[in-house]
Amino acid sequence: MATATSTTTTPHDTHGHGDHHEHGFAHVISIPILLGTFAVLIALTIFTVWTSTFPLGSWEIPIAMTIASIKAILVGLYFMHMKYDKPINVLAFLSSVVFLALFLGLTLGDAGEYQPEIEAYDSSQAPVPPVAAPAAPTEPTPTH
Amino acid sequence: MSAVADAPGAVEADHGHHDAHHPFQAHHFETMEQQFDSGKLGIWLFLITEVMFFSGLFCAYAIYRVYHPEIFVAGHHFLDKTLGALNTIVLLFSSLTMAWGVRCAQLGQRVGLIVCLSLTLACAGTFMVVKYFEYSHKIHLGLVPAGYFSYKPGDEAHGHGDESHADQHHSDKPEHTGAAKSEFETAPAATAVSAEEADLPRRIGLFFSIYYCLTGLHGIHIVAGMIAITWLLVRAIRGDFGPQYFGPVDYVGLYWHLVDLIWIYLFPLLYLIQ
Repeated sequence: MATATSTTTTPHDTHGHGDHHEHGFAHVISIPILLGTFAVLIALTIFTVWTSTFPLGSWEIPIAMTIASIKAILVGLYFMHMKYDKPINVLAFLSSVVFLALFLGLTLGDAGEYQPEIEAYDSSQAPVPPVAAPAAPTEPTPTH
Repeated sequence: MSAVADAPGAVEADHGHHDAHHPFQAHHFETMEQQFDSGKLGIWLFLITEVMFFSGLFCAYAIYRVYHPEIFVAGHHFLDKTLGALNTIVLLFSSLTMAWGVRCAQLGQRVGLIVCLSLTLACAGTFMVVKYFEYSHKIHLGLVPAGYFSYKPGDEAHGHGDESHADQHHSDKPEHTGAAKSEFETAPAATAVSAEEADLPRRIGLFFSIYYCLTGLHGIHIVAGMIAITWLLVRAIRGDFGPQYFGPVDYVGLYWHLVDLIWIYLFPLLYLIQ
């Protein structure tokens, strides 16, 4: 049937990327990097579970979020290839983190403004005295 | 041959002066690389929307965590840390196999790709099974979202029926909390008030609302990912992918890593912090 549809695969190489024969046009990640990243991620998981066994008070959220962010950066850089990707893609994704921070930050601030009303309402209700003291408003913002 | 015949104009002379292009090259692209790069930007944009999607629920978490920490102190005891850690490791491993699968697709290793995709799928299934056990255990105990919360610390049935939010999504501002509460606070006077204060704070049901919304939405994303990976598996078995065409594997891989990323944050926030 095919005259024009020849089974040509070799011309594809001339379509621009013939220098890498085994690789296509994107970076191929190496197995040691994959396995190494995985090992570090597992180690960090074990570490974060271990730190959660200690009562660290108000340090718990920052510590847990820091460890989680390190894991996230590793997944992003290596599993998601961001280290080898076009910068525009990385920039686009990081911009979402910026907006996430804006969203959480501004909303938390706004919510703080009417906490007095909520507390007044709570104390006017019957048995349960609210333990809600907005002590140190540490933002559990999962920024990068 | 049959795959090539898919491209409708392939036999026509308009493609004749290019070399016959790859069967999976769409006609609005000049080269496979351009197609790949476009798709890559596309999936990154989608991932941005996914981050924004989850940020609403994370914002709800943040507000309640900052202004009503007692419900988290009380609520996290009901979550099994071991199961959560197991799910984390399962998802991390699935990210490894997915990234490895992308590598296999790039190198044209069809069998390797099939193995990797199958392993990823298996891990996803494991995650959902563990989640099923977690959920069914909690629902059995009555640890359900606010409005239906009916956990009995001892024997007797006392519900926190006064917070009738139903399954209201907590991307709404907490003002709703105050308004809704006031309407229903007056009604269940007799039974609902006694044993609860012994153990659990007033708004404990909200902890579970947040828990179910966050993990449930994440679970839905896992299931959607499983569907996508199954589709990839079918295509991989068909032999569609190779060094010139591995975009779909890469894109679904990126989505899968994002789902893993979200769990990396969910796990400590829900299970580990007290």
